[in-house]
Amino acid sequence: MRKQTLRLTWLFGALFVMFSARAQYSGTVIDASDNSPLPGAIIQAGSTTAMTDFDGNWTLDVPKGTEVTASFVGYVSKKVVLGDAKSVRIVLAYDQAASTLEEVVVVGYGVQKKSNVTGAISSVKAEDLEDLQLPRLETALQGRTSGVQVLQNSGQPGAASVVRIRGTSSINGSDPLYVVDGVIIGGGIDYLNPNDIETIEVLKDAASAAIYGARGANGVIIVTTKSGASAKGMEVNFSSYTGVQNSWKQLPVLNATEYATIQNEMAAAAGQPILYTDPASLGEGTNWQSHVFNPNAIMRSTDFSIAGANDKGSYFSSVSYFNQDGIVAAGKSNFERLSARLNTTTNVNDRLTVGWNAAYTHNESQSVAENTEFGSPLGRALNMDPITPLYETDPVLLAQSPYTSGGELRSNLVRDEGGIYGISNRVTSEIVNPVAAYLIANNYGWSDKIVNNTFAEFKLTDAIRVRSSMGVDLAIYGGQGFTPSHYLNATNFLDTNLVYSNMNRAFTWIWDQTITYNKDFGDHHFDALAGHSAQEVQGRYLGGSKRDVPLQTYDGSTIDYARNEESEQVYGGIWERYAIESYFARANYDYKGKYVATAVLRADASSNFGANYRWGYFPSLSAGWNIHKEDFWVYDNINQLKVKAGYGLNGNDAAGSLEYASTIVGGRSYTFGTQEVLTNGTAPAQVANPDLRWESVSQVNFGVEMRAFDWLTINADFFNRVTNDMKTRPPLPGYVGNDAPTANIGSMLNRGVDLEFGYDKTYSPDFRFSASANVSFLRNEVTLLGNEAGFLTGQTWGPQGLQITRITEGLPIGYFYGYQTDGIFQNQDEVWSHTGGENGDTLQAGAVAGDFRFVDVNGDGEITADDRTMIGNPTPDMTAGITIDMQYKNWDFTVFGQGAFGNEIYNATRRYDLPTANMTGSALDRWTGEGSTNAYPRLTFSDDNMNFARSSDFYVEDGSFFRIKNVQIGYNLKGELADKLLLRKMRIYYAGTNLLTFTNYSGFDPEIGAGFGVDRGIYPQARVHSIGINVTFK
Amino acid sequence: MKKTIKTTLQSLGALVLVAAISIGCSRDFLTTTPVGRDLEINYYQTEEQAFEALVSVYDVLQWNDQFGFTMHRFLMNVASDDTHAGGSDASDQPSWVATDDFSWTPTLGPQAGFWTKNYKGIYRANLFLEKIVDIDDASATFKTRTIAEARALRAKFYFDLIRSFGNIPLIQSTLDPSEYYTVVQEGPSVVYPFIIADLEAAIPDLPVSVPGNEIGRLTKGAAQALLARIYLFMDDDANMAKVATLCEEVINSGEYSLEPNYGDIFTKAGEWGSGSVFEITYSENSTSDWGRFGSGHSEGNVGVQFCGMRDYNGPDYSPGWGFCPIEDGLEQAMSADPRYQYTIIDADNLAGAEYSPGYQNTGFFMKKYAPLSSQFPPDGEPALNWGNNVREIRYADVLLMAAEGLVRSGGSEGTARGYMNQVRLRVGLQPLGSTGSQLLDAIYNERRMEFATEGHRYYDLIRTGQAATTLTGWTDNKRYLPIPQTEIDAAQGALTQNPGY
Repeated sequence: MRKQTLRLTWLFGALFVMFSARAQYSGTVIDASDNSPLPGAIIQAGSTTAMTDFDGNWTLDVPKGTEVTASFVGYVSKKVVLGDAKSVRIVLAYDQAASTLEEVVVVGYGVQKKSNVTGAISSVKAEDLEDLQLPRLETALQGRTSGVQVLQNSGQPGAASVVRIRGTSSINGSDPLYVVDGVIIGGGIDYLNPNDIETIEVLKDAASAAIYGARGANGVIIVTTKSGASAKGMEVNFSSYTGVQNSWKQLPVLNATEYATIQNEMAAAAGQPILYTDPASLGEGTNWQSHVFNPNAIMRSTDFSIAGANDKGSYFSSVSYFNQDGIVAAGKSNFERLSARLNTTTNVNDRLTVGWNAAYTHNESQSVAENTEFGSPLGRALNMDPITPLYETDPVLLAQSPYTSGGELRSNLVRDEGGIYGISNRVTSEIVNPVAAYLIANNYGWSDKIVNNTFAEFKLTDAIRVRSSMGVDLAIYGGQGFTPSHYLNATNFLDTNLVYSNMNRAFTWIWDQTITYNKDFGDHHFDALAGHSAQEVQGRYLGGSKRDVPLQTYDGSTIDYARNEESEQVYGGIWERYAIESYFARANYDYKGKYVATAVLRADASSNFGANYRWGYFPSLSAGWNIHKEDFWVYDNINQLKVKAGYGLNGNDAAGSLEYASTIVGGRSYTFGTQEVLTNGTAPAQVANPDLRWESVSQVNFGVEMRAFDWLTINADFFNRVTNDMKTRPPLPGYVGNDAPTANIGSMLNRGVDLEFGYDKTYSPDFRFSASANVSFLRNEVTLLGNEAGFLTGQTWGPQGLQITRITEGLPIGYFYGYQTDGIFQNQDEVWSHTGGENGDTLQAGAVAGDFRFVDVNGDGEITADDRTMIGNPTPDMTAGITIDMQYKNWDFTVFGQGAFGNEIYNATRRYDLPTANMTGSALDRWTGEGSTNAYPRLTFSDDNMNFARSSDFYVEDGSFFRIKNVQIGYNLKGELADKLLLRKMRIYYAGTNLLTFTNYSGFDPEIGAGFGVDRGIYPQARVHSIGINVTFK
Repeated sequence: MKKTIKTTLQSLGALVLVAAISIGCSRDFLTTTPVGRDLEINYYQTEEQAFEALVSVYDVLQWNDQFGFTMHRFLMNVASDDTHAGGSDASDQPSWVATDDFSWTPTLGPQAGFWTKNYKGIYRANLFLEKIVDIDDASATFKTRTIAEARALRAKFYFDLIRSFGNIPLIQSTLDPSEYYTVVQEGPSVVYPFIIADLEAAIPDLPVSVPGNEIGRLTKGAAQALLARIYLFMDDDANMAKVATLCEEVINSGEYSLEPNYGDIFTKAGEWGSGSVFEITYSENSTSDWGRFGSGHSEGNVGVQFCGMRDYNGPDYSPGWGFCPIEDGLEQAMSADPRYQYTIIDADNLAGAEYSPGYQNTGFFMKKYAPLSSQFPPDGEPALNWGNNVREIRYADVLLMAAEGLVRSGGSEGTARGYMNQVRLRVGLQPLGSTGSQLLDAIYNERRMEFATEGHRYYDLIRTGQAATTLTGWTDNKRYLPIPQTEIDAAQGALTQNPGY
């Protein structure tokens, strides 16, 4: 190598590469597409090389007549003979053929040509995402690919999403494995700046996921962040948007007059005196929803990146800031993220490349309770009576209970500049003044996360490469909060304020070594991968709380500042280490690109299992046939046709540490002594199960990929996934006296079809139209639970623990469970004629007109708990997404919609156990007399028929929806003006999110990821109007 | 260039070697070492660990959260004619409503909670008794006393099982998985001798009294009184002399005396007062929350929350959930008794306070375990953290058992009357001079007044044969609860359901 200096200078995130040599010839290298200079292009004359500078200029000291080769990554190289002219302009064209033919897919520990892929892998690329406002990674997948269902837990800023690849595969959790730049990420991927994403690959079938062995059972999401390799020269990008968020729906609830009228009616029906003598005088009352929603909440994102590449390597660096206020509980629900990333590779020499991908992210958030019947802002807003005012101003009322205690105004009433917040004397329990309740809540969370993967790759021969990488993932996260003293009602108060804080530190390292072999033998291509991987996860935590801070505000409150020494509580500990060691191998073969086959084997040893079953082996085999490459293929309109099939076995090693063992646990305490000392006792936690092992998912996949007329693509996959050895806890007889261990017993089936369609046509140089759609059909069934009862109780509702979901053999997971209703008794004769059983017994002798007619499902002549049955299914039969993209001259227009069909939602937003709780407007259509309605029963304080206190199909609603998630109109600055402004490109756009939702569901939002289809007052998704700008500088 | 390659190769080789050495050859890499807890196979080596195991047996005494709200004493109030079920409405706690009207079915009722709780206690006692033998670190005196405690506790758990279910597996040691489904159900004729043997073995080894910091641990008096209660419940006149003897040993021990003021018994200060022979202790300091409910880790007494008045808004009490409203019969029977004011809250006549009437409301609520605002739990979910101890055996009970034992065994009626009249005199009632069956009736009546709403009445009615005539809906086949259906299912054929279910 010639004398050369290479200087890496960090200057606003950019790397400058400089070259110096004696000059004889000089010139520029130009991009054929837009005549812009190409920095970092290589001019080579034998052993003499030069590199173009920032402006595309080069100089070279060579004799006349020398042939030089100009090359640039991704462009077609060009040879030029240097003649008399001392200044030479070389124009390079983008390698179109290479970019389409060589399209590769990340498959785990490597890449594969797309045409050779035999599994079911969906890809989402940066270009699909760059114009979207994505708060987090999962939303990038929502509605984009078939077979992947993404539901945001809620609309709360920073809320995670539920991601299911080809259905729910286990009752023990079905979250996919996330791999970011080769590092398996635990604890959520909310650290990732969506703008840093280059590609997302979803490994859906077992043949593809087998390379991740004991952790691939729920599918794998592989994220590759951007590198400079695709950029030409240096590319500086700036993007920013600002959005205004609002709730898109308020639920109609009873106003004060309606509420009082119905309460009177309920009292009268129960034979009690009426409560309100003049309901009309109460007027509209308080609209709690309008006080709880936070209008015009802002979200902002700003992102700045610099990328580039040359023959010495590549770089991508970015910084970004994102913040979002929530649309509920102003000032108490928000999220912000600051992230920075540097990805570099350096070609040390012809054989050795080293590099790293490093990211640091800081998150901060504030959150309010959501989707709970026990006190969330929205749940309270729906249930709080409208008569209670936001602020109580009546001096008469303020002079009595509950505002006073012992004749004195309580010191801990919630108040602010507006006055003292009202306290209901009608609705009790957790249903308190929703505004006062969120004002006193201070729940902060934060995290600092560093993920770095450092690697070295060495080309041993042309065919053999060795790679070693060390990934680390360090997360430090915690929360803190402060609850001032308060009095919300008789059961929700605090006399002495409380401050708490906790910190956690999780550290993961993962060390991968791979060797790849890649060689053609004539028409036979063969490549193989073998590797070893080891990973360890450790963590520790510390937290505490204390009372009596001499402040009543979150700001400034710390545990050390608190005064009550006796109340100080502390906890802390160390996680038990998780470790996994793996060996894996993959072989790909193809013959002329026509016949392709892939075999994978992975062996994993997980510390989650005992010596009996520590090792698991996960094989897969898949093959494909590119029919269009056959000589006999004469159908020119069909550009591509591939059929493929695969089978594989994946595992799920998710298990508690030492779940297989019998451990001694504390907390089996008893109180001794006149001082009432809580004395610790210990006992075995459970019976040991040394045979505990991974859950397995075996999956068969058949697929067809077709491209026709150059503008139409169709992909179809059929799959059958069988989960076996699903962990359940088969009940032990109680007389054994110790708890049962988990055992590998259950099984589950997911079967479905994934379809993807693409249309892309350029009608004229000015107009391009493309559309893509995906549709997935899925059927889920729990096939075996292995307990005598054949079911597991699921979710409950309300303080009395009403059972509302179940997991039962032969039925879909988490189905809704309760009584079937068959309309309403319109008169007493109908009560008597509702008979059943062998003797024709009257089924509901205690019922009266206006009560529900329940169905005697088991036909035993009685309405009992045994008549409860499946009344709904939270899993959609079909999910779909559609994107339409149009470009006309400088304008672009995009519509993206997404939906789920055939699922139900359990509407558990009203506290059925609190008869004085407010109701939605549907109560106005209650049964009031013969023929009034057959859908909503009579209202009474004495609900002897348990119309509302039973789980029934009354609460189950159609949850299907289709939502226009995103609409965009953008203007792209091009041509001379852009040139003058030194811009490579600039786009200014408007985007609307959640503009339209088509649904019959009556609650806040049909898109509920949390709670598995049970709506307990979900925090809805916001409707967002935003404007943004993306600029790439020259 | 060549040199670079060579160096690189060497370092890569070294890297792989290091990987192999540090991971592949290290057996410990994949072995999880417990942190902050221990493996059972390594435990039970020291006296301290043995004591923790003993505490875990005591722990089960206070459980009331197995399979829902299954507070034994409170549910027995519901079953008796002391209180109704109550609650917000007829759908609130179906198992309580079923206990009120004896509509238990194999799937409805508190039986799963009672069954599970007591067998957990038995397992822990058995485990302790098996492990303690081989703990060389433990002193002989420690072993003697703790073995006695574990056996007495096991007897208590078996007594609650046999009187609830009548036909139960008698598990005498921890079961091996091979024995899970081959257990045999035994009736009272086999179970009671086992219980009695446990207690008779324990009594001599238990201390007569314990120092202040050990209050709550079993004493000789507690075990003797428990055995007396068991003999009494067995209802065999042949045992009545034993009842009298055991109770008189407790009386003559000089360890106990009636509290001067009846009203002090159920105050905070009255816990472990002079008349407390055996209390089940609860703590308001365990910061329990709903997440722990059902695990047995709640150390609070949720029964207190249950029997409070719904939405009560006055100064004295904390609002409760309106369970266990006093039946009119008891209220009327006590109307002239001086203990009324310490037993019954007349909720409709409380100055400056209101409450919401719930299901089966009578306007009268339990006072002995009422949620006092002065004792409001400082931490955690208040409903689960009431610290009120359950008075399991009071000295007044020992006196009245002694009196009954004497009368029924043909002992001195004068002595018996004396014991009974001690109880009456304490509350300012005139001594009675009854004899014969009238004396027995007087003793029974005294029991009703003295122990109203303390959860003894139901068993008193059963053992004295008055249940069928006194309790609406009770027939002789309700003497035993159904064996929980979940248990019959899980036992895979090893269990037979009780007749009548």
